[in-house]
Amino acid sequence: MKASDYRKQVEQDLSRREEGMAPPQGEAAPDLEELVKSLADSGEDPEAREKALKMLRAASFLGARFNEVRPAFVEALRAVAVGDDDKLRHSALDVLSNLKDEFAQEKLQAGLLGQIKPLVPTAVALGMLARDDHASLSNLAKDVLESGADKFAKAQAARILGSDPSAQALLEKILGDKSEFREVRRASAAALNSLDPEAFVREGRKILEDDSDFKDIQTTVRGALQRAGKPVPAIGNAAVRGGAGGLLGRLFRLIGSRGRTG
Amino acid sequence: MRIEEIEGIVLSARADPGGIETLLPLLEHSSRVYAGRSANEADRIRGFILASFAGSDLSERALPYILEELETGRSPYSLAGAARALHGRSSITAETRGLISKAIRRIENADRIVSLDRLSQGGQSPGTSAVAELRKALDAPASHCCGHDPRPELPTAFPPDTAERLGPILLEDQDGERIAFGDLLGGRAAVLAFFYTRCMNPEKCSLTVTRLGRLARLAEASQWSRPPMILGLTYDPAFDRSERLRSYGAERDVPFSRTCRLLRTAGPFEPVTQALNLAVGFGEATVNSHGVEALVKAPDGAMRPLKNRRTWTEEEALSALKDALEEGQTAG
Repeated sequence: MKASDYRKQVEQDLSRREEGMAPPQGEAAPDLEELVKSLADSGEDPEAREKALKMLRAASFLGARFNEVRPAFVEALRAVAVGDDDKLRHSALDVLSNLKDEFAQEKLQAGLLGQIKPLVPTAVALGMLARDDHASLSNLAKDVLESGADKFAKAQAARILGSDPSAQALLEKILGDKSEFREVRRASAAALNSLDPEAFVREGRKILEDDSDFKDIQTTVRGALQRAGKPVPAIGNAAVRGGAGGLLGRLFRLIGSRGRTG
Repeated sequence: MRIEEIEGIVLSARADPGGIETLLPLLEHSSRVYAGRSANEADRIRGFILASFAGSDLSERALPYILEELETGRSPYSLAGAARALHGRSSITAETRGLISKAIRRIENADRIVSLDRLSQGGQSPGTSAVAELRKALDAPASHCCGHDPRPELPTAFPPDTAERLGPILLEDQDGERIAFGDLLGGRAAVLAFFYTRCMNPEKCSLTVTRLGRLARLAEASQWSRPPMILGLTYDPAFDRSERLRSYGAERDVPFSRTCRLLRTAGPFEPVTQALNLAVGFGEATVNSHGVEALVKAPDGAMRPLKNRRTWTEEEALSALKDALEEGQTAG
C-alpha cells in the first residue's frame, strides 16, 4: 500500500471513530474537564481516578472535542506518573510512553540510572522507553546487558539495540553465547535480523550446525530463516544424525551443564 | 554537554543585550548542543533557544530558523519556541500567518503545556500550551508589505570544489549497486535530496521522497537529451540498507531507474556532512534533528541549495534543473 493511500485510510478511520465516539442523541457527553480534575486529584479514590483515566484515554480520539483539555490531560498524567499509587503510575506511564512524552522518558531513564526511585520495574521501563526509536537508549541498553539484570530486562535491552547498527557485533556475540539466558538470545536474534538480515543468516547457520546448542534456540533460528526464504542446513541434532557424539550432546543438555533458563 | 550547562549559556545570553547573537549558531541542527540526545530533548532545547529571540533585534536573522520550524515542526516545544520568537514583532506577513495557522492544525492534537523559561526542570515548570503560544503570535498586526518575509542573505552556492570533494565517496543504491559519487553524477545535472527511513515527521522525509518520485516523472516527460539524475541520500546509512531503501521508495511510488535512485554511503556518512555542511544532528543510534534539504547540481559541477531551509515542490525542483541546464549551455 502506498504511503499516501495509507494516510487517507487513517484519516477516514479517525473520522469514523470520532463519529462513533459521539454519545447517542439525548445523552450527555462526558465532562472532560471534570474527568481531568478527577485524574489529577491525588485525594480522589484510586479506582475513580483509574476510571477517569480510561474514559479520557478513549475520549482522546475525539479530535477537536478533546483538544481543549489535551494539555491538561497530559499534565495530569505526568503528575500521576510520579505519584504514589503503583497501578495508576503504571497506567499513566503507559499512556505517556505511547505519546512518546519526554517527561515520562526522562523519569523512566532516571529510575534506570538510579537517580530516582524506579517508577516501574526495569524490564517494564525499558519496554516503555523502547516505543520511541529516537529516545537515544543504546548506551543504557548496553549497560543493562552487561549488568546483572534479570533476563526480562536484558531481553528488552537486546530488543532496543535492534535499532542501533553499532550494536551489531554485540548482538552477534549474545546470540552465539550459549551461557546467556535463552530469552536474551532469542531477543538478540530478532534484533540482529532487523538490523542486518544477512548477518542473522550467517550467525543463524552457525547455531543450526552446532550440535551442542539448545533446541529451542535452533527452532527460533530455523523458523526465522525459513520465513525469510533462506535455505536452512540439515538438522545437526544428534537425534536425527544418531551416533555417540550426538548422544553426548543430548546428555549435556539434559544435565543442563550449558546455558541458563533463569 | 549537560542540560544545566546549555540552560546556563542561554539564560546568560538572554540577560546580555549583546549575547543573543551567540545563540544563532546553536539553532543549526548540527550544533553540538543536540549531539547524542534523544529527538525529544533536541526539540526542547531548540524551542528554548528559539524563544530567546523574542523581542530581540536579531529576530530577523533567526527568521529562517523560525519559519523552518513553523513550516514542518511537530514538537510542541520547538513550535512554541518559534512562536515566542515572533513576539514583539511590529507585524507579521501573510506568509508567516499562514505558516502559524498550519502549525496550529498540525500540533493541536498533540498539544502540551511547555515551559520556555527554564530547561532543566524536565517540563514540569508552569507554562502555556504550544497552541496558545502560536495563537498569541497571530495577534501581531498584519504586515502591509508584499506579504512575504524578507530573506536574509544565506549562502546560495556551495564552494566550487564541493562536487570534487564528494567524488570519491562510495555509494550504494536500492539494488545494492555500488558506485562512486563522482561517477554517478558525472557531467549531468542532478537534484539530490536527503532523508532517512526512520523519520517520524510526514512533512519531511516521507514527503521528500514522494516528491523525488514525482520529480523523476516530470523530468522523464521533459525528454531531455541527457536526463538529469534524481537522487535521494539517506542520513542513516548503517540502518537504511539497500532493501530498506527499495521498499521505502516503492511505497512512495519512486520510479527507480538508472537516473532515479535512493542511496546510502557504503562507508561513514561524515564526509558528506562535512562537504555539504548538512543540517542534521544525531542521537545515539539515529538522526535526532534535521531540516528539509535538497541541492541542485549543474552539469559543470556547480552546486547550490534548492531552497534555504524550506520545503520544495517538484515543480520548483524541475524549474531549478532547467535553470541549471541552461546555465551550463550558456557557459558552454
